[in-house]
Amino acid sequence: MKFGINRLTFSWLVLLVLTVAGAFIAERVEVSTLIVILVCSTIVMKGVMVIEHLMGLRSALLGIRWAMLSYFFILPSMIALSVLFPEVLAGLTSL
Amino acid sequence: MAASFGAALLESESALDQDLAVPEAAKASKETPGNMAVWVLIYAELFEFALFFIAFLIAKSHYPVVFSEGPLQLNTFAGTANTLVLITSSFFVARAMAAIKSGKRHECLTWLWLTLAAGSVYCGIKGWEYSWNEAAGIGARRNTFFTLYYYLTLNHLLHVLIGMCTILFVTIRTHMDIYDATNFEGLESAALYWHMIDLVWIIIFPLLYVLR
Repeated sequence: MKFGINRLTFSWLVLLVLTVAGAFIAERVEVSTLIVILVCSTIVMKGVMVIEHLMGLRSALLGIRWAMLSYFFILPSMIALSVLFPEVLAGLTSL
Repeated sequence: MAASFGAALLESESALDQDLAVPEAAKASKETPGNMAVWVLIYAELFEFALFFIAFLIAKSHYPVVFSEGPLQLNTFAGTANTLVLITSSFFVARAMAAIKSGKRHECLTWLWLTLAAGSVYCGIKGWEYSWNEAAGIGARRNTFFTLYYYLTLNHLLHVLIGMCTILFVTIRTHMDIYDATNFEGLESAALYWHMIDLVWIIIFPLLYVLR
């Protein structure tokens, strides 16, 4: 099956849809564990799409590509953990 | 004799592996956009923002009520619109790169001007959002959430302005016929910097506007 749009355009459209979904969550849905995981997953998806398709790092040197990708795996995980377990982070960072 | 034959075979296989490995590495290096200098800059900027995000998360864990109420008072429409605009600008600059690589200089210029237009729209929306905040009595000194909100968003806005100056510079150079299908490293580096700005906003938007 051949789509009438190229990979760049497809990535852009997916990114727009994910952003609008995030905005819908912000306005209408009460934040729960599932929502936090969902929102952080969309950060990962959007980051990976920009890095792989828009920046064009899909076939780049592994070191450069993975340094960028790991940023989008580590930070959203940290965000999810800190939102889900704030008291643990507060305990770890209290003097 | 069998042992020496085996050793010779292993040696020849190893040499073959090296022959195959070198072109692969060279190919990956050739397909890596930008130069080392721009990657060092991008990693430094991302590291700087990562420290801001960690500081934000720590503050959030210490002041849960303030950080829970803060996002509800922000203009989600402005945040969403800016995300859509920045993602679109990233798409424009990626199209500009695809065009110059195909030798389509005029098409590349169109996409670059669109990128600059999107950057200007982002700045306009951000200005409107700040004035909307002011009208609602929201200032940087109101509480820790808004101090960090202004610090993060103003810092990001500064990067957008720097990125716009860079894109304008490479647009002028493209007009001057400096870049073509074989020489586009400067343009590519500017495009990578612009994508980095988009990547940072992809984290800022849910952190400030969505998660509470």
